[in-house]
Amino acid sequence: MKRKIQQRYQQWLSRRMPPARHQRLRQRLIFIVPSGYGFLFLAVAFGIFIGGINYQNNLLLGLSFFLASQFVLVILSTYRNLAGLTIEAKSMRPNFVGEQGYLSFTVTARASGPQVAIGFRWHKPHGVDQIMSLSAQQSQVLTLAVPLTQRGWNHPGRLVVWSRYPLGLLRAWSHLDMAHPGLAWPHPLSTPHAPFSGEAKRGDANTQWWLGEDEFHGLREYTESDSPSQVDWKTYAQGRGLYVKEFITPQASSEWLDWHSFHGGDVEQRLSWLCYWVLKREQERQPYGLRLPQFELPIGIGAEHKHKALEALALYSSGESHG
Amino acid sequence: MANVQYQVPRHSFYWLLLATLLATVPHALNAGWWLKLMLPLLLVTRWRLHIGRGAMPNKWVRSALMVLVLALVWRENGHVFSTEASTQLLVGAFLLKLLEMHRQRDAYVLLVLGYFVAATVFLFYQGPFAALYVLLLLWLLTAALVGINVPTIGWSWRSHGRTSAVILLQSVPVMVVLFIFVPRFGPLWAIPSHEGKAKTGMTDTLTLGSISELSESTELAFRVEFYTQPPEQHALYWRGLVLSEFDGQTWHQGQRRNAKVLLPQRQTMPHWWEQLEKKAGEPEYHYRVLLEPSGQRWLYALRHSISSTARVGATFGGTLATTKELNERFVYELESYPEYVMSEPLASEHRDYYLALPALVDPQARQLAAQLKARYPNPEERVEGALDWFRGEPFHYTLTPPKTGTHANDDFLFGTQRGFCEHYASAFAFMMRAAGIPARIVVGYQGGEWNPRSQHLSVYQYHAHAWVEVWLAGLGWVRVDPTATVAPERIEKERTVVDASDSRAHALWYGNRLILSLRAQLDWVEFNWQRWVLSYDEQQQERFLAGVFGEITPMKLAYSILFLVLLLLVPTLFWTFWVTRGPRLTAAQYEFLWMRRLLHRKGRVPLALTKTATVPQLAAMGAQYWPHKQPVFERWAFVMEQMLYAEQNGTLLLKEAQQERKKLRRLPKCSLKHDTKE
Repeated sequence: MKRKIQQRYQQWLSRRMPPARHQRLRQRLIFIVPSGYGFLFLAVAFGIFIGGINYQNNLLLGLSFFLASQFVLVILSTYRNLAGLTIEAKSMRPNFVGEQGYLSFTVTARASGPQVAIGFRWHKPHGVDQIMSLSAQQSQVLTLAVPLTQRGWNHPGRLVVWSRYPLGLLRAWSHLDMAHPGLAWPHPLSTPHAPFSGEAKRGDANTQWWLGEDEFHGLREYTESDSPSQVDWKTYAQGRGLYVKEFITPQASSEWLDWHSFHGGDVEQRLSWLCYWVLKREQERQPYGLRLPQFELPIGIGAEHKHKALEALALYSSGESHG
Repeated sequence: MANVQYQVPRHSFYWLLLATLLATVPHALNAGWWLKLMLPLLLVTRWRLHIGRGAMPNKWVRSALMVLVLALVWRENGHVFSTEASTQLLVGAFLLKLLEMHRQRDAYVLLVLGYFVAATVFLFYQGPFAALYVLLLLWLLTAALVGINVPTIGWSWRSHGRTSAVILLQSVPVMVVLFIFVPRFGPLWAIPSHEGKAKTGMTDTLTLGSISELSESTELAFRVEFYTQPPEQHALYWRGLVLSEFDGQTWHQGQRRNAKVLLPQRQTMPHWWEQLEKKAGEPEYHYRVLLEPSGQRWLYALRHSISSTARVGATFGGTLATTKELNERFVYELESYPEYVMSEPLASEHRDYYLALPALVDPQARQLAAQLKARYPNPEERVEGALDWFRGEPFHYTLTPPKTGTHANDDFLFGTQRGFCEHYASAFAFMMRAAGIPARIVVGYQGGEWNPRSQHLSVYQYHAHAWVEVWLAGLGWVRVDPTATVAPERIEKERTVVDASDSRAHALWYGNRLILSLRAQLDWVEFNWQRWVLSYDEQQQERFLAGVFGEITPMKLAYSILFLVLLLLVPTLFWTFWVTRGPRLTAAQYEFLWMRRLLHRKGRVPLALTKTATVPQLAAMGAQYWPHKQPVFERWAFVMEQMLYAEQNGTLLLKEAQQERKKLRRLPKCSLKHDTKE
């Protein structure tokens, strides 16, 4: 039952407040109800009213009427404090699954008057508020963290914009769908097997572009999964530690990170491995390209290139494309 | 206990502290020493906490303090249920809340409670200045409330005061409407009376010396507002209560007869009341008395008065009273027929009652009375003869008479010969009774200060007076004021100074012209305050609303409240929506909107459809609907485009575009299937 009501409410919300990246708090977007203190205030006003009647004291009655009309007026001023605020989705900082991404918004006050003590948070229990006060027409950047729980787009839910200013007796709020999700890259998983591929056509499953045996590539630290035959005993004998000799096949180009080079692993694992290698290549400052089914990123290097690659991994087969 | 100390924002702390201080000061002045001591102590402690010294007391200490407050209230009042005691408790708890401020919630509770404490000021003070004071409190409390709602730093404390003032000012009109229109009704339940509150004014016995004490008091007794021409100053005898039993020292009301209050429509009313009621309709004087709280039951009125105000009853002695002590202001309306003659004879039992004297007291006075009786067989002449005797003796009117002994009247009449109105009244009434004329003493006020500005009369305690009524066949009870015989200036003149020789301080105060005029101004303000605000009750409301609407029905009342409140809120509503409206459209955008509306009106093109159209698209759409107007549409589009993109002289082009559009006004209605269009 509760879930059904919740569902209905969400449906109603999405009809009333459709997603948009640029939203202005208009009358139909703002809800307003008395806060707990508002009810306390009304109770005090009512108590004074009863006192006024019982003592036949017109001043007490007058005071209770004063408080009542103050309450009515505060409905308007609380509404006014929130209304006309503009919120625009801006940049987004992606991160790996399990970490936090960051979403930025530009909040702009309306032309008339300041908008004071406005809180922002995600609509979920224990959301942390960010409070902001703006003078007329002032803009401020609001950055909210979004926990990334799954690869691809993570919708943080609706953005709660609320205010109790000026008297705290009423709470005005809006639940905005800012159409501004956070992007989660796959969680990088290290794999010793570099998914390098040569120029051969993708989909040719019989060709392996493995770390090969033909050409010495370099040394790397020994891990337990390595076969003893690969250990560089010479270095070990020199007392320089346990290393493994790495060879690559000369035919295979080391510049392509290819989805099809993996034998095992499910989709997510493969993406995580690829992610690891993208980061590794960047770290080593070596150019690379990325090949995924129905996607190819030409060879390149640098922050922008890395982001493109990670984005492709993040969005792989999620049926969504960015931009 | 976890001491997560909530810090009241710096910019609102002093608002909060000042609001707390001023809300409690009036109560501290009223209450005993402990509140006077507690107030500064707690405020200083709170301030020290704010600047980071000391720590908030834990809940044990706070509970102990609360128990202490309870004990002190109990000790001072003997209970905790009366209005005074419970107010003191509230104030104590309110102050202690200062020491419990761990979260923002505590600050809220303190402030919202503060409104309640502010309200309790009105239980003890109701003048216009009290109202101003509470308004100031509201301003401070609201400012503090604004302050704690601005958690961000870097705000000026001044802005809170401004915001608060704006909110209060905007609230005033709605409050006024509610005040006027919300129906008044009687108390819902009985409230604990003001126990131990001093009774002011008259007491129900007359011991020599009691009125001269009153004469020192400048407290207001009541105000009178006349609907008819007021009587002359010397005729202003405000009858309060009748004393008809004398025990040798003291005159009593007489429990059996005169103390009994009869309410019209519930009991059989005294004869005099019924007679006056028969006469009703043509009163000599019609007026309203606004009585200050006296703690007594009697009501003051001119001779032969009846009232239609609820709760007003009558006594056999010809006075008016309520059945309960008056601890609040009480307003009653009166109709007086002072010249009406009650010619019925006095029943013999009543005659005996009003002639009764204790044996063995005042033998000299009895002797004199016997002489008078022998000399003047006619009762009227006998009364006159007695007054003549008073005139002939060197009586002196003074507020500080020497003490009298066992035979009080004899000592006064033949010994000291110095006294105040009560001495004269007592001696005269005694002599009359001794001389065989039924007599009684009437206690009340004589005179009053006329305020020319508001046309009302203010009667102060120093107007207290006592005089005599004698019963004469064919005339009924007739007023005789022996004091007036001895000191006529006491009655004829409007009394502002009690007696210059008796009270220098009073003379200084009331002899000064400037102060007198200021006092008159103040009296005017207070009178109007009382008339329009304090005593705006059920009756007044009915009268006022009947004047506006004619017949009043609850629906009418409800509708007018709703209507007026909305009417008053409209400017604010309008302002609210005006300031929060979207960005203004430019002139060109408006022009575009007009064209869209034209297509909507004449061609039934939905507005939503044309929302994202371009100027040429819109024109083309129009041209398709009304081919014969194609040039006009094209011209309009051309001008619009020029204005928008070529940035030429905007106003001229706009005018041209408007002219083009106006040519389309008389277009016939027409509708195509526009969905094919898009």
